Formats: sequence, structure tokens, C-alpha cells
Amino acid sequence: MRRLLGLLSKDFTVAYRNYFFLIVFVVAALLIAATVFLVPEQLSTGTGILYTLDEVDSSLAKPVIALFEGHKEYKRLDSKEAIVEQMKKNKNTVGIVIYEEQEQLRFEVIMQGFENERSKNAMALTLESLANIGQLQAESIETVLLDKDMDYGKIAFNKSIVPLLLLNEPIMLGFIFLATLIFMEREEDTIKAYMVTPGRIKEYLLSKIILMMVLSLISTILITVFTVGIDVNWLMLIAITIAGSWFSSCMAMLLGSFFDSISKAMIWILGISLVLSVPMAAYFVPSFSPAYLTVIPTYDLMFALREAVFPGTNPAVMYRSILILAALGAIMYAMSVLSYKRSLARD
Amino acid sequence: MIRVKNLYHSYTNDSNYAVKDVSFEISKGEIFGFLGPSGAGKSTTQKILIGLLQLQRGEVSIDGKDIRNANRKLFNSIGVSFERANVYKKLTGIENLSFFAQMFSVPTEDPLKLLKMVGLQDAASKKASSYSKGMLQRLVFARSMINNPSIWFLDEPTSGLDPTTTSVIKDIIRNRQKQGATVFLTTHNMHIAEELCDRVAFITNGEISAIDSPRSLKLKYGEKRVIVEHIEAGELTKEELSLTEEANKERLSSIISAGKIETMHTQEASLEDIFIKLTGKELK
Repeated sequence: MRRLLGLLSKDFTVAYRNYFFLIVFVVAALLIAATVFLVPEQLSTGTGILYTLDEVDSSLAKPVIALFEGHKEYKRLDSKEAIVEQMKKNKNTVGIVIYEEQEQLRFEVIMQGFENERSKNAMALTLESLANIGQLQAESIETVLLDKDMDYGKIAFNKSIVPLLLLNEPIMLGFIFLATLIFMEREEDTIKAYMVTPGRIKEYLLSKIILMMVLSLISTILITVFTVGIDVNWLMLIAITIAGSWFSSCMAMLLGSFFDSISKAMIWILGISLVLSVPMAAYFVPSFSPAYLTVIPTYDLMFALREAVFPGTNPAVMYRSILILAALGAIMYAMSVLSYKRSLARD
Repeated sequence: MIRVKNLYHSYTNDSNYAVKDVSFEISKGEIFGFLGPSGAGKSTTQKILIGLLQLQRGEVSIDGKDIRNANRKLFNSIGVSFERANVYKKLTGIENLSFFAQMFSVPTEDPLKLLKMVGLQDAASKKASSYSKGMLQRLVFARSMINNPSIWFLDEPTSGLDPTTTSVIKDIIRNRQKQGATVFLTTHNMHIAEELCDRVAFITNGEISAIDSPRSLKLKYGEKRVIVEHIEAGELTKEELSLTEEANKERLSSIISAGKIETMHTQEASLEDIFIKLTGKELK
């Protein structure tokens, strides 16, 4: 225990003098400021529809108009010219001119020109169904909600990105920090001096992991308190952050054991960071969950963080994530200990 | 105290040995010099003895314990001064020593006392990154004494030091020896070895070519010679003569008989001369 405390004291001092704590505070402050002041609370990514009626029998067009008026993205204008004028001002719009031909509704679609084929096809299918709106049986489509209480849509957009920040900043930054610390000590060759004391490799590595956990917790707590507030599942959030930090630290240590300088390892550090970041693509589209994405441990971790920050009814993802990260970390930790012993013998 | 028998080591795990059939024993309280040029196998042997390299073949015991089965507590009685100044550059001198003091489970020395011994007391609170090469070397040397080691491995302890500091370091080593420490000194500096070592081993190409005290080696392999300056035919003449070759001995007798000797000095071979004679290599 005395040795571990000595190692912790040394590692915290070295980290402090390398500005690790300052970097964590500054990056957290920047992210908090950006989240609170720059990212909008509401974000609309939908396309606006501008439409006009060109000599249409009102009874024929009534169901369509009723449908359009129920959506705020739809706006009725007086003429085709007005639509074109508005579209030139707002590129995120398409226009529809509704007219009548042989007692049938017809649509003329005006597009900006940059829309892809998929968008054009989707629009065509939508309008085709509108043309036959009288035959559409809405009651034949039934929507079943597996979790009626889960409504992440009610969370302000700027707060909804907090779990991504918690994934990226404390855990991924920890990966970079630890790699930096390990390579700095490798270049100093101090591990050899340590290895001729009764100290063990596992204590040496554990001290660095604890340092990274503390840095991660500082960052997580700061970001969470100043963006989302204190109404989160703290116990789980802390447990998940520790598990995530343990996983990323062990991975950085294992990586560090294969290289003798940070420049040689840099391509791997960046590559692994990139792979670990890929699951973020699925954050706002949970239905996008191909197997190659879900096997990356940060996929579950990301949703576990969201569950802890915005407590819902899916605690299973938190427990699963903690267990997986703890197990993977333990395997990499054991491999790191062996790898360090080997790499010392190589030098 | 240290026993090495038929030690082999290959970095490539084949018959290309960096250390080949090395055997020696070091008694308690002895200063044993391990001498050889760069790449001779000195560091490899030392790394095996201090556990930084795995023992592949042969036997090594320290303080009666086979290092294959040794507990890490054995390091409580071992001190190592590395040739490379491997210290934490972001920590001060005293923080470096205090940190290492915490790694041992035996009573340790006062870090400031050690820094004073090597003349670093004024730089104790400065970060090691601001130290000169010589200061770093002294810090590494001081660190190796933090646990009062009874077995002390010194790798080029005076490398890069000025003559005054070198003299201080030599005195510290002698004092530690008087207190009972066993010293394994790795160096290519023959003067240091000659002054400090009770016995030396010459190693080249991974093999030991001789082990003995510096005096015995010189007596055994050094040629006794004498330089005489004398007046002959009215002029000052200088001659170097062997004391073992018959013709030279007769010539020296005739010079002495003539009674016109101005100066006469016996010439001893240096340890470096003996090394070159035995190994055919220079110490670089």
C-alpha cells in the first residue's frame, strides 16, 4: 500500500506538472460553454415544404390541405412564383404546386437541384400516396411502443449531446493522456530504475490507471453538473466512467508496451481513437446498429452514459456495459503486465 | 555474495551469444570490476544479475538465493546506479529520491543527506530537467544508495564527472565497502578500476579472458622495464630496458658499473596495457 501511495503521489505530481489537470479543466470548461451557449436547445433538420393550390376544386384538395396544415414544416403560399422566390432564400425547402387534371390531384415538385435520388424517390412516393389519399387506411398501420416512458425526444438538443461529450472527453482524452505519460517515462527509462526496487509492474500500471480514473471523474462531474445539472444517476454515472476509464487506460497501456516512442505509436493511437469514436454515429439514430458497430465497446458505453445522465427504463445497458468494459480491461491489464515484462527484457 | 556460473545469453535466442560461459564469484565486501569495451557483454551480464534480463542459461545466485526463484524483496538489499541518467525529469532531485525511498520496505537513507554527499544539496529543490549531465549522473548515484544496499551495482559511476567529483564518488564507494557493501563495478575506465577494485574481470566478445587482482595481473602479464638516463661519451643518453631479458639485464649492469646515471625509473604496465595484451582490444 505504501508503494502504491508513493506511485500515486509521483504520478499525480508528474501529471500536474505536465498540465494534465489544467487541460482537463480547460477542455471541460470549453465543452460546457459550447454546450450551454452555442449548441441550440432545439434543432430542426427537417426540410420545409412550400405549397400552393393552382385552380383546384376545394373538396378534392381538402384532405391534402388538412394533412399539410397539421405540420409546421408545411407552408402555403399564393403562387408558384412566390414558392420559387422563397426557395431561393431558403435552400432547405422544396416546393409543391397542387393542381387538378381530369378530376384527379396532380403535383408539380420544385427542387433546389442538389437533392439526391433517394430524396426525390421518397418525395414521389409520398405525393403518390397523397394523390390517393382517399384510399389510404391509416388505421391499418399500428405503431407499438416497447417503452412508453422512454422519450429522449423531450430532452433539449444541447443536453442530449452530453453523453457524447462524456464518452469523448474523459475517456478518449484519458487514452491520449495515458499514452503520453507512458511514452514520456519510456523515454526517460525510469521504469528500469523502478524495476530494481521491490515494486511490481502491476502496481506501476495500476497507479497510472487510478490517475486516469480521477481525471475522467473530474471531467465527467464538471461537464454533467454544468450542462445537465445534478438530477442524474450519479452512482451509475461514476461506475460507468470508472469502467470506461479502466478500459481505455488498459488499452493505452497495452498499446504502449509495443512501442518505444510516441511517434511510432501515434498512428495506432489515432486509429484506435477513431475506431472507438465510430459508434457515435449511431447516437442519434439508434436504429442504425450494424454488428460491426455494436461490437465496439464504446457503443454500449455511449448508451450506458445516456441512461445514467437521462435515467430511463433501460438500466440493463449500464450493467452490461460495466461488465464488458471491466472484463476487457482486466484482460488487457493482464496482457499489459506480461507485455511490459517482455518489452523490458527486449531493451 | 554473488555467484555466476556458466552464464550464457542470446538476444536472438540462438547460438549468437552476447554473453558466453561467464563464471565468477564475488565475496562479501569485495569491489569487483567488470571491465571491457562497449558491446563486450558487461551490461548484459549486469542486467541479468539485477533481473532486468531473464536468465536463459547458467546459474546466478545473489546472497545465496538463486535469482530464478528470488522474491522481489531481494531488491531491498540491492542498489543500482545506471549509466544512463534515468530519473523523473519533472520531479526535483529530492522528490526523485523520496519517491524511490517509498518503493523499499527497509529503512532508507535521508534523501537530503545523500544529495549533500554528492554535492547536490543546492539543487535539491530544482527539477531534474534543469540538471546538467554530471548532476544527473550524481543524482542516479545518490539514488542507488537510498536503501543502504549491501550489494551495489555501479555502471560507469564516474562517467562525465569532473576530477573533483570523481574523487568524491570514489571516496563514497570506498567508505561503503568499509561498511561491508559488496560492489559490482562495470566500467571501461581502467584508472577507476585500478584504484578501487580488489579484483577485476576482463570481458570481450561476451567472454571473460582473465580474473584477478589488478596487482596480480600486472605482475603476471606486465613486463618489468626501467628507463635510465645516463652520460655516455659526454652526452646524455636515455634507454628503456627490460628487467627480464638477459641482454637488457647485462646492459643495465654495465650502465650501473659505469656510475654515470642521471635518473632511473622502473616502468609498470598499466591495467589498460594488460587488457590490450590479453584481449587484443582497446577499451573504448
